[in-house]
Amino acid sequence: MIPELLPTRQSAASEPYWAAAREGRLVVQRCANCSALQHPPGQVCVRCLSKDVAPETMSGFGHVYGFTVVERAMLLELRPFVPYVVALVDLDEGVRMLSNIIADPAAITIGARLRVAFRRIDGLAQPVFELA
Amino acid sequence: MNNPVIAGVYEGPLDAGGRSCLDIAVTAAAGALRDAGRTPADVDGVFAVFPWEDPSIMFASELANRLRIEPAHVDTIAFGGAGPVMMVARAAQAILDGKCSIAVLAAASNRASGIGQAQAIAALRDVLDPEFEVPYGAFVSPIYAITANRHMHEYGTTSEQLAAVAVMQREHASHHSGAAHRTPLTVDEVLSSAVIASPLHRYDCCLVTDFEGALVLTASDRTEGGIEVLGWGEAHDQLSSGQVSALTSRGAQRSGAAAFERAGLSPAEMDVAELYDSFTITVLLTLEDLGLAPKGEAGRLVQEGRFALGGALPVNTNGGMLSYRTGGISHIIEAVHQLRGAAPGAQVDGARHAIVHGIGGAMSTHGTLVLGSAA
Repeated sequence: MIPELLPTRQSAASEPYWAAAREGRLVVQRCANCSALQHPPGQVCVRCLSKDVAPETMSGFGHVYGFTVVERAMLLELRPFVPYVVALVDLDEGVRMLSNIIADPAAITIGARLRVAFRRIDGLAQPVFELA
Repeated sequence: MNNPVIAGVYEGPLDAGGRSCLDIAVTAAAGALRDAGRTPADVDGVFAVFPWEDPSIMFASELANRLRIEPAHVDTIAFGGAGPVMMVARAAQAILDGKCSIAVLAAASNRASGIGQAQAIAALRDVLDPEFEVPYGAFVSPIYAITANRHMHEYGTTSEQLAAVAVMQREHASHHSGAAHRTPLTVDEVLSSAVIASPLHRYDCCLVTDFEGALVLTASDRTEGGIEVLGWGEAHDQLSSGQVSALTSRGAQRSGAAAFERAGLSPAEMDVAELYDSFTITVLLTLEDLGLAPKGEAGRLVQEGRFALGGALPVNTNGGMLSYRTGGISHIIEAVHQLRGAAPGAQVDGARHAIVHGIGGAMSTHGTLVLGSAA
């Protein structure tokens, strides 16, 4: 996790997500009423509006939908961290999430298989991905 | 037809001199009213783009206050880069609905001479989710870069084709004395400029400048001649790119279709296009989504000169945000100049129909206008 960019506005429904990450699990919210998955987590299922939503542990596997290697940081705080890879990751369970890929940028391609990993800092754990 | 009519336009200098956004909006509004042969006393509608770089709670109301008027209808428009186009669309609808008949519309920014480029760019982080996107170092440019990555993957678009957009627009800007950058640019220079977020190079990215622009929009029976607002449309994709099903098919498809339908015109009937160009990929994707190029072929068509001055459909004729100045209001004003047959830079001969497109967020918020010279 980029220390200067720790999550600043934690949403009302995201505590289980971060708690699971600290335990080394990637969870996505599933609605008990209509079984839809949603990420980021919300206070209700935005498909059926049921409040009966709960975190479900994902396999942690997915593939690259698209990615970029950031070489010039837009923020001063990010300059020490370039180059870094920002990617949209399609989980095997059918959920897309934005993340970082921790790998040699030259080895990353669209469609590449990924496995979740956890970057830890200050008692927080942030899901990121590695090449599987 | 009873389409609303653009009766006046004004664009200030590139450097707004560090004035407040409200001060800039006042001179912009005054300039457009002067161009329309009107005074504040004639105005019953005030619209302004929300200046996030210098915010105030009731920006358009403050502009009305400065103009010493008490209009029937006031609206502050907050859609990021789509603001100016959306402002014209909302004002056109308000006029059709009879809420006002002579409106002044202003967009003002001191983001270069006031808060400065670094702070302006930093502010853009607010467009992304502070919990699930920003902590990954994801800002506007990486999202557009991923969009380019997908477009290349799906359609074989190349870095040379992206560069060709920047080169073409620089050539267009070279004809305009008010452009920020007029020195010719080559594909090699674009490709050898620093990579910002792959595959986007420095010259694939738009400028950060001030802007000062305004229009006077009136009911059809309040202006002789003028430029007709023939069609308008808007579409709102999810702000978070992870929620967008296909990064290469965006809201411009829907906003464009709505604008063309209202205008009763087709993409083939456009003579000039002024398209939001935050990055070179933005231009290619928007050309395709508006139906001005077949899907996946915009890059090749740029290389072939279709969208250059002298081509079938000149695009961003003043150089756009890549070379002229940023903000989106300039796209609209340039379209009006073209349709008046009096462009300050290069004029597209006989231009009768123009399409203008604005985008906010990271390709999420879309507004389209179809404008026409009065028959």
